[in-house]
Amino acid sequence: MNLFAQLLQREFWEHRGAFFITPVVIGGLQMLMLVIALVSIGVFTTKINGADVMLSNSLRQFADSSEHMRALILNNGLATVAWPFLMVLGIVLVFYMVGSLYDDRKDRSILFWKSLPISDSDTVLSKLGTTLIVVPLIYLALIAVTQMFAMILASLVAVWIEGVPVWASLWRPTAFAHLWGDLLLGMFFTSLWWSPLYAWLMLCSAFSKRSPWLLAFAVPVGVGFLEGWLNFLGMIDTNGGTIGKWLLQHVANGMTMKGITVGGKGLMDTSQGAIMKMFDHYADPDQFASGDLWLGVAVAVVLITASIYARRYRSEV
Amino acid sequence: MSVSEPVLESGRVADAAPDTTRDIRTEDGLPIVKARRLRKSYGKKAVLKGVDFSLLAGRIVGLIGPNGAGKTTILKTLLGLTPFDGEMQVLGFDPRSQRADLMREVSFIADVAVLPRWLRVSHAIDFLAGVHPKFSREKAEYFLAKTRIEKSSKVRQLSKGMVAQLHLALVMAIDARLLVLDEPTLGLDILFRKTFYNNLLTEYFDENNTVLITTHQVEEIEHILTDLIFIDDGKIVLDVSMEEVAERFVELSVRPDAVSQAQALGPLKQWQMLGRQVMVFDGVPREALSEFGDTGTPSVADLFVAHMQEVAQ
Repeated sequence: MNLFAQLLQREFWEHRGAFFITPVVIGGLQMLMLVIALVSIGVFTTKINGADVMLSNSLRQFADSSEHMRALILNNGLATVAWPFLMVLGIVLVFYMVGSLYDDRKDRSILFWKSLPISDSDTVLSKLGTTLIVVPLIYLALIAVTQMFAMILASLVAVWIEGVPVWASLWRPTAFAHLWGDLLLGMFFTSLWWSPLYAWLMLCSAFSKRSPWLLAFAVPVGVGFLEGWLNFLGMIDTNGGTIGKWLLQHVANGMTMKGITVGGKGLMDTSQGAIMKMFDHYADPDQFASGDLWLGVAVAVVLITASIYARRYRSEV
Repeated sequence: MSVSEPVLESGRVADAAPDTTRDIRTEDGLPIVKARRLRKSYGKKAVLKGVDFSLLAGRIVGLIGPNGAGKTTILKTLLGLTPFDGEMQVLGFDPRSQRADLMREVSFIADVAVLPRWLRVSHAIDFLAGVHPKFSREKAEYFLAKTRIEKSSKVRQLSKGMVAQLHLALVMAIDARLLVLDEPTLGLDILFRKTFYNNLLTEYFDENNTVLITTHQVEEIEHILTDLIFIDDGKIVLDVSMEEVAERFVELSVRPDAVSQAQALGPLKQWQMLGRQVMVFDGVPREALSEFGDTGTPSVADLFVAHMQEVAQ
């Protein structure tokens, strides 16, 4: 196995809980909830909005609805499965990055890693690659597995309870390629949008002597305070605009997909009410044309370079 | 190694330059480590105050000094783990700029406790086999088979002694030309310490590699050392081979009536032991001393104390 693949493998071994077990649990919980829901309305007659809901009736209704309707329900339902994964993915990666170049300095195991013929840039880039590529792909795979499980479960129930023709009513309308294509591309853009934040956390992780978290927060707060103070003293005049506001406008917007308008479309424009639409925006290839995206990537490159230098001589805390 | 190579074949010399494994400087009897005027300060405190030394191939060198003398700092400069002033060449590499290349030829155990706690033994072997061109999986498994370490265990499940055994097994499976050990047995019980050095000597060391050890427990490594470097307060105070020690230094257990005569010859140090004066001499012929009492070769510990006298007082 080549060196870089081996380094990625190491990250996976170390963080198996966050990278693999956690998404498996998320998928498992969703399946459990689906089973509970099916059992609830299948075995018991449940009241929803005052009306009796029975699984067999619902299934029949579903099977009798138009293909367009079924596609909408299925695809949106399956897309919804992805959200908890994506939320947790963001949190997992932020925590991972903050510890990435700090934890092994804290427990001194860096002295073991540094006794091996691995350059500091390989180390730093393997951790970055884990965040930008490997972990999103693992989560994507587990999203797909969860969705397939949901489909299989739904199919079994549909056949067993109502004898619904599974292929025509369930599988044919489902746009797996579309769903997974959106997710893949969306994750790719998310990695790029988030890269300056990840890189900043990594630099703090490589540089910090006490707490990378503190450093990661204290520096922006300190800069903001200094800026405000100098403004107040009249030594500088930023004319109401601040670095913080600028960052929110240019970087944070892309990270949260809020208000970013690429080609006149708001990424969070869900007026259609369809989650699929949101995913289409999430994966909108027009984002390539966003100057803010590439500015963020350029900042990330600078911060990562600094992290590699910090890694070289910051062996122990 | 390079003898069989047509070294002088014209036109090939330039091409061969980057292949440092055939570097002429590393042949037997020539230094594999050369340090000149090493200086290093932490803030205002100077830790290394102009250190010069060389290590030859096929030697086991003990780097010995009191706490804070600069031992670990020297090792860190040698391994490229810290910036410093001065010149340092290790196997022809500059450790500051060519660390990753250097680590292909050099192994080190910085401390017994530094294997990551989450690492599984079998994964450690897989990882090293994947990243280290000189690591032998067979050797590592052979060394591990002699211990009670389970391959499915994680480091956090092993006792401190077992972690040291594991680390040594991994390092001995790397065919490195220089092995650096910084207090490798600190905090281990006597059984582990004994087997640690025994394994090192019998299973690992040969004329092609060099071992550099720092330790507090001088007595335990005395019998395996071929060379001694004493360091004190950031300076080298003694740099000799064990053969030279036997030639240069004499420990004299002085007869009570000859104390003043012996003192006139200028001992490095003297002390009272079992009612007799014991003196250590540097460069005074053994025959000249034998008339004042019983002569012998001082132990490394005594030699160390003799050289550290100034500090103690």
